[in-house]
This record gives sequence, structure tokens and C-alpha cells, in this order.
Amino acid sequence: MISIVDTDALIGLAKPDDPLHARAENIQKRLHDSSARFMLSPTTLAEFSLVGLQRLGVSGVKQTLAVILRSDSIVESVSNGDTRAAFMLYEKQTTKDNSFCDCVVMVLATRLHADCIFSFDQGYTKNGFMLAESFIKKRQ
Amino acid sequence: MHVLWSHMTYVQRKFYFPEDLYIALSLQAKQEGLRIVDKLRTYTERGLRQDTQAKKSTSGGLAQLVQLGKTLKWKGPKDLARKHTKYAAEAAEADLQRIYDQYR
Repeated sequence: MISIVDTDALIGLAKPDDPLHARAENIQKRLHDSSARFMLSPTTLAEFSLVGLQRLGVSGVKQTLAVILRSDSIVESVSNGDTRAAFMLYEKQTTKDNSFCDCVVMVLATRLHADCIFSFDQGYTKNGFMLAESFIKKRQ
Repeated sequence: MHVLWSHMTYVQRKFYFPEDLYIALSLQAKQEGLRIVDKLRTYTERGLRQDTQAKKSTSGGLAQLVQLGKTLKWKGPKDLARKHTKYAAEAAEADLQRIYDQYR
């Protein structure tokens, strides 16, 4: 089982006072207990570091990235083909809700045959992807 | 779970058990028609397996990120996760401004 982890899930996991924290932690546990493999795009880490820099400082971002990279999660390479496919997907988006980073996540989810995207962003659902929380409920 | 102990190499050690525990173990072994040592091995194997499973669920995956998060000092909005794209854009804008300022 493969789950692609997006930036909001990383923040939700790492930020105890975030409204999504409890849900993110529960999803993480449930997926991990089901032997899910967590995969990330380098663009997700870049986005996380950009957001985190102002909110955590350099040291906090470094520590967080180190923990993610030391975990058994896999950072998947984004190829030229992936980037072009992400751009084609980005061109189809009609709102500013779905960023180019989100499109890269969707391309990786497709290429890796991911079972779900670990995110709370309904933009993925609108593009035909299943969010981790729905995936877990469906399996129950 | 049945464990085939007969094909294993054994070590001999001397352990002290609290009397109550030993009596309880003896009784249970007797009720089940087993030797005390077999019950002891089964319980040890089961306990080790459960312990490993418990450690795995609290340390594997991205659980360490949750643990680290408790020690970090986050600043700023509570809705950071949900609105991360907006905050990433603001951060990128601030970074661009920093570069502009270098040429003033």
C-alpha cells in the first residue's frame, strides 16, 4: 500500500496545536499499522521548508527535514516527464486552490499507483484522487 | 502460535522468579498439560513480538515527526496546515523582497 504525503499532512503531524493534528496523527498510525509505505515528492519538502522557515526558524526546519529523511518514508524523484505531466494537469486547473506542487503530487500518485494521498485538501478529490482519511474509512 | 523449539540451540541461564508468578505459571502449565518451560518460552516469545509491534507503531512511519513536533516552537497561525499554499506564497514573496533589498 502506498500513500503520498502532502505538505498539509506534514504540518498537521508536526504542529501539535494545528486543528488537523489529531486527525493527521490518527491517519499516520492507521496507515503505518496497515504497513503503508509513505512516499513524498521533493517539491513537498521544498514547500514545507518554505512555510516552516517563517514559523519554525532554520533550526526547526532542519530538524524536521532530518526526521522525515531518517524515517522509512521514501522521497521519490521527480523526472522531466513528471514535471511536464504536472504542467499539463496544472493547465486544467480552474481555481488557484490547486498549486503546481499539488499537481506534482497527483502525477506521482498516478505513476506510483498510490492508494491514497495523505492530505486534507479536497482539491485532490475533485481531481479524482482518494484522500487517506476516506481510504481508511472505505477499508473498515 | 506454535513454536518449534526442538530445532533450536539453547542457552542455560539462572533466573529468579517471584513465588506468586511461579505458582501461577505452574498452575497454568499443569491445567494445559504443558511443561513450565514451554509456557515460559511461549510467553516470552509472545511478549517480545508484542513489544516489537508496539515500538513499531510508535516509532515507525512518520511517528517521529509527531514526537519532534512536541519539542518545536511553532509561531504564527493555527490554520497553517490547511492554508499552507497561502503561507508558502507569502514566504516566497518575503524571500523575493529580501533579494530586492540586496540591490537597494
